[in-house]
Amino acid sequence: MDVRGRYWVVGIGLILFLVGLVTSVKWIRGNQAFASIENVKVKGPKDAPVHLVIYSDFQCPACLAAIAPVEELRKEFADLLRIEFRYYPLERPHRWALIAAAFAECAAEQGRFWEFHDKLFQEQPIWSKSEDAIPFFARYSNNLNLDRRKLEACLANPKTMARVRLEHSMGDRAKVQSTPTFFINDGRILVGALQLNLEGKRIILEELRKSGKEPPKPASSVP
Amino acid sequence: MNFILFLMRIVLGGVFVYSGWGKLMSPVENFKAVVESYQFFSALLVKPISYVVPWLELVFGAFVLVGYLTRQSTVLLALFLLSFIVLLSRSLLMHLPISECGCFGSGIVLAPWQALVLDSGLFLIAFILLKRKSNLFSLDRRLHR
Repeated sequence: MDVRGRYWVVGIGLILFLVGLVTSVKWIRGNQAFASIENVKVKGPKDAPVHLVIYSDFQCPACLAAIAPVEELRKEFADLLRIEFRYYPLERPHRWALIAAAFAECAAEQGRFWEFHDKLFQEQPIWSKSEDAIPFFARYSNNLNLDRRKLEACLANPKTMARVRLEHSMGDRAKVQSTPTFFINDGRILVGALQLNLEGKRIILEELRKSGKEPPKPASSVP
Repeated sequence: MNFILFLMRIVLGGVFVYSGWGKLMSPVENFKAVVESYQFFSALLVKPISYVVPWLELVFGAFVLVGYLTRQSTVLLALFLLSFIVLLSRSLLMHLPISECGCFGSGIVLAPWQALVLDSGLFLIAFILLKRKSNLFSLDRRLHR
């Protein structure tokens, strides 16, 4: 075989080897985004045909930008959509993200997760720039009438942080790299508010069709 | 000198293999979000770029690593590095809200300025490799026998 022929054979062999390696490792690892977890922060019925899991960080501006599109989807699809929040605090760039998640987890323990979640995102531009965000979190807890003693016990309990870190490690296993990352029905992944805006609705409609459920009819303006 | 050039080839190829591998092991949407965050490419181009770039990094990184079509592969990696340098510099000048470069998938996390330093160093390596031929332990040497 001449030099050119040898080059072709080796080149094709190398490429096939790499493609085979990547494909098989990906296949072995699989997608573990939906490992079950008891302590969930959920909106919408459990038997909803579409599940949207959000890995989010309270101090991330992109997560704040994603609140509106998520809320639009929730309004549009109502009982057909179940939304689950999971913590993915990015500790290096976001100094207060982990402690914010711990406060939210303690609010969840008292059944006020979503109110606390909304407050944290509403006030994010203020507390995220402060030298010490903890007094802000304490004030929000107060305003929501959370039981102070229970809250303090919860914050001091190492299990609280362990639950936050567990969700973070679930995100790592699901290959979350940035926030917000959305998983729709065990597999469809969107990263960031822009992708959710562009493709979220279409994917949800596809998933509804797959499950045989009727998508909600658009409200007509003329009676 | 030949051994130093060989080490340079390993570093250049190794970084690209690691970078491509890290991206390919993650859902493509992660890299798509990285490409989007640089606010440079049109929406039409983002998808093909996020599918193709990790494979090119892996394949041509591996080619440089084993010394197969070393010169041509090094030219391609140098062009990649040049485009990364331009994109990173632009993002820093425009103060884009990018906290990490997204260069290595779920692997090493680098801030844009750190990635800029790394890419500039790698570009220098690629330049030296193109100026001084390195065929120690290379497939090119074997295939030409």
